[in-house]
Amino acid sequence: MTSGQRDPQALLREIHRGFRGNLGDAYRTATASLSFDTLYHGALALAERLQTLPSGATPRPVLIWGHKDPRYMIAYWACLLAGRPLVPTERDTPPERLRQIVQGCDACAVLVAEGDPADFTHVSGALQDLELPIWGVDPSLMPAAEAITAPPVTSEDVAYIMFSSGTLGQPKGIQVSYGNLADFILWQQALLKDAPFAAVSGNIRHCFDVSLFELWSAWQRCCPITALNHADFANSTAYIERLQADGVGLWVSTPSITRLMLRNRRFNGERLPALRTFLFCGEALSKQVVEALFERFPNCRVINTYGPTECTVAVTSLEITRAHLDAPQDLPIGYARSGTTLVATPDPGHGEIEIQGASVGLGYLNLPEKQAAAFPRPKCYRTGDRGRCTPEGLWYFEGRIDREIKVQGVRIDLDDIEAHIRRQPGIEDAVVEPYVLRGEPRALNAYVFGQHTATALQALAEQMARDLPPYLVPRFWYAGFESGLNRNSKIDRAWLAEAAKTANHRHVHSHSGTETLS
Amino acid sequence: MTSHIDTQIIDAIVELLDMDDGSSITPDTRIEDDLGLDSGLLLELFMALEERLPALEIDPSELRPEQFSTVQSLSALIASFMKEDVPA
Repeated sequence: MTSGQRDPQALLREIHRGFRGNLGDAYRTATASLSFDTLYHGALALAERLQTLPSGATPRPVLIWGHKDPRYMIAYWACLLAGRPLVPTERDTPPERLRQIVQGCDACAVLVAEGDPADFTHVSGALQDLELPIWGVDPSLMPAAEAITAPPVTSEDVAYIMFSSGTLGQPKGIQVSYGNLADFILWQQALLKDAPFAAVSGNIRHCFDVSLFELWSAWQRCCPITALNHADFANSTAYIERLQADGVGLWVSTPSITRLMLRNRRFNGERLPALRTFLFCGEALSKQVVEALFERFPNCRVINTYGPTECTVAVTSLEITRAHLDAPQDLPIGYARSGTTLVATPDPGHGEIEIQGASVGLGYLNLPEKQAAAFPRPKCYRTGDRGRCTPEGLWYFEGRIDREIKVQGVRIDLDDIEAHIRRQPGIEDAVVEPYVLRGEPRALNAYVFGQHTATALQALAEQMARDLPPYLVPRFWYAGFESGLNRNSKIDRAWLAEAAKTANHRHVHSHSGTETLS
Repeated sequence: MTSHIDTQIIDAIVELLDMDDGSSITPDTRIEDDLGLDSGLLLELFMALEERLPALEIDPSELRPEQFSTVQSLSALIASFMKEDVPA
């Protein structure tokens, strides 16, 4: 079934109606829970309130701010029901970036979905003088009517906008339509139709679109999400106990998160007998992770998927088997999903992956040049990823064409960060490279040219931390390399190792308490 | 004086951070500010220590980064989690 056969608004309202009267949990945190019935009524009531906001020719977006709180779910559904594009943001989005996002997408309101319901100073401080309504989310509100009278949305209307890295000027807003969303919902339902689960993990931040697998798989079956607060990452034992108590059967994550959980010996099939299906997205899946899962969770199913945010979460999938692990190649990313076609250019079978079809989103907000380059035709997106395809249509991911990398699932454009450092006063030049452990990028190294001291490096790191989200701030800073070391047009590993070794000044930027996982 | 637990911590860090050797790490080395261990790597370090020290049972909920900053203070904290006496 493709989205063309289904009216997105009708599909969403049908799923929402299914929540009514269901007193089972929809969302569970370590300290709170939310029933489907409360989600049903709370979302309707908030949607009614959103309807009172002024509307232009097209509905203006609504920002949601918070982290893993039941109120986030209510805010999410309120936007969907009211036909307002939702913009998920996080607790640790820096104030300046929050401002840029609000201004960049011309948001008409902010919904604060965490913290003290009477205290919005953390958000209002960042947005002062913008004269924007900042509302809390009250789960106890009841709607005036049992159905929403929102204007009809079409398949081409914007359902959500995800803001991706892009450190230069405005953050990059990626728009996904109701048609794309409906197509995704039906696809993930088909993908997971045989998976036995009655509760779903809540690993992924809502500002990261991989979270849509968790949300929609749970919402469609009316099962609870066991949400992981990222401040509790160090306490994986407590999360494992909650997964056990809640009987979580579907695990959605980036390979990084799973690799972390696997370090805890309690993460196994004996303790978590219900956990039978693992779905990966957001990063290249390594054989080591799958081997470990097969050993710890005998008879589990591992599904690998791949896709850019621009094309609605994921566009390929397949179940990983022993044969894939034993094959000499890296793990495949799968076959194109129904309604979507992948082609390699310029050589069919090997080259840049181009995605066509129902999953291709509306593209970037107010970035005509980037839009023209990445979306050469409607319903066609050039990923910048290199891929290889077998005659049977099985795809393998071979890395980026440009300098975009992923650190623990988050897209990072190294060129952007370098440019941001170069714009700071007194900087001659800078090189940013991933800090790699056992083949996986774990953080960023910054090599700064010019006259600098460790104190100056620290000031630079702190300035970056004020401007950018934590995951874009390099952790290791080097300056004062051996003379004669100039920036090469192409940086090689030997050069970097030498620069790190001979640097007179080194600074380690600690995020102190903030989390970098997605 | 480097204790048995100090040595285990340093060895685990060398392995975790893929370092050539532990010569640059002393009991005074700061875990976050000098080595750059974030909460993810810190968790991996705890788990690696559990593997290295069979008598160690870490309850991560009682082990918060603010309770230690150096190899030495982490070592003292780890010692308090040991189920039985270990030769120092």
